[in-house]
Amino acid sequence: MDTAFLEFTGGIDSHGQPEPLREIGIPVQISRQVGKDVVDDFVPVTIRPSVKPDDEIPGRIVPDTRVVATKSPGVLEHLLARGDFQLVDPPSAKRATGQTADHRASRRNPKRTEE
Amino acid sequence: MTATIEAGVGQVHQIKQAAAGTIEPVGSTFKALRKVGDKSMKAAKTYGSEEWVDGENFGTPAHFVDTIGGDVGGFVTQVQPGGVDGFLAAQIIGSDVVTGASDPYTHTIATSSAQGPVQTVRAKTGVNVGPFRQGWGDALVSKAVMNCGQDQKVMHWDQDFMALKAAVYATSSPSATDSGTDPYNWAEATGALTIDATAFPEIDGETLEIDRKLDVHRGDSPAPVCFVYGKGEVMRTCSALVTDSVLPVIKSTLYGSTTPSHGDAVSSAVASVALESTYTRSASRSIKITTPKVIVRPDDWEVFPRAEGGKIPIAFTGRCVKDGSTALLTIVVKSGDSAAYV
Repeated sequence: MDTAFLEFTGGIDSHGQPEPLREIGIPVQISRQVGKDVVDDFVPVTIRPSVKPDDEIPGRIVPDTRVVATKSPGVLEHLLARGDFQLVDPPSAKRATGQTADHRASRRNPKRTEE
Repeated sequence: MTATIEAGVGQVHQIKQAAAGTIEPVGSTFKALRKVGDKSMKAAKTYGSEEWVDGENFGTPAHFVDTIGGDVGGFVTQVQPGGVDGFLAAQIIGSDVVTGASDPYTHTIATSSAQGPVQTVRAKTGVNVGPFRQGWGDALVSKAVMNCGQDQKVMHWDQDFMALKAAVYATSSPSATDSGTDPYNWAEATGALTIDATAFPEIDGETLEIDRKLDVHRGDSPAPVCFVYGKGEVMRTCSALVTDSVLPVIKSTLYGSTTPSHGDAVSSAVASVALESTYTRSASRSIKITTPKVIVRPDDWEVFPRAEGGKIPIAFTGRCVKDGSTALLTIVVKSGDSAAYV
């Protein structure tokens, strides 16, 4: 599977600003050998900011973004099923901390604030 | 003289296992929980028997161990802000996203395709007699019920467990102690109980029930070898009484309009409401429970005159379902814990 990128849309603070994405914990189904049997277990996986290659870990938070990169079908399925992650294009290196698609759009088209 | 075990002196600890198959040792960082009531966990060791024709009137059947583990019961705890709240929710819901640069951290715990993480529970009973210690490992929270209201002022979280390893004997306990934080109470939800985003101060209690519909499979042993996953369901109830502001919700559910006309028949459409409650201890400690689409069941609604007068109670209760792509249940907790609970 190619790397999928998903942006978190929740975690908005009391001022309406997106909080930086810190960590994600989900159990992922993993098959393991027990004697002669293969048993499916749900193993907790923690997704953190990392620059490791996507082949080596179930998923990672792209540093200084609210975007998760994953090549794991299980992680992808879980995050999409939550409803508060949306598929996005790969983030650029210049993306600033805590910016969402909506936030960037609002900066491109700033609304006038009544004084 | 016979000495009774001190039932009121004990401890209950719970933790997410680092790996399935290995019960967490007592040295791990458990959560110390405030158990209330009498509900308890057990070994679930049961016997079966089979009669045979032995020429007697009173049988001497063959006995065998039928089951060990599986449905091992559970316990009820107070829900304390600052860590226990999010921990308990995440153990059955199974997906936790943490945001924030510093305390408070926001835990967004939402239903998805994920199962809950595997648990270890350890309990100690007694002090001078005993103490008697047991541990349950490779356990999943099969059902959880949150309850708070005028009748139950302190927020309670009731858990049931399914365990592959039940009542393992122990000689020591985890060292974690109570945080000293008072649990949430009903007064902390004042003004923050909403139906379709409108506050209803007449709501007098709520219940959230998460049922994983779990079972276990027993193979070559009385103890189970694996879990069998059913189709889970989430039910929610807000109880109130009939008031001028509740009547439009009743009309909308029954007739499809908040202002039905004379002669309108009961609508054949299914109605739903969004229910949300927020308990706030401070700006940095709170829990918000959101169910965006609850199929409220009007089955037992009776708005009818009463000879003795009095209040007419009503319950908005029903199955929680997804609202488009939005999760059917989201619990947002603000706490000082920066690590995910799953």
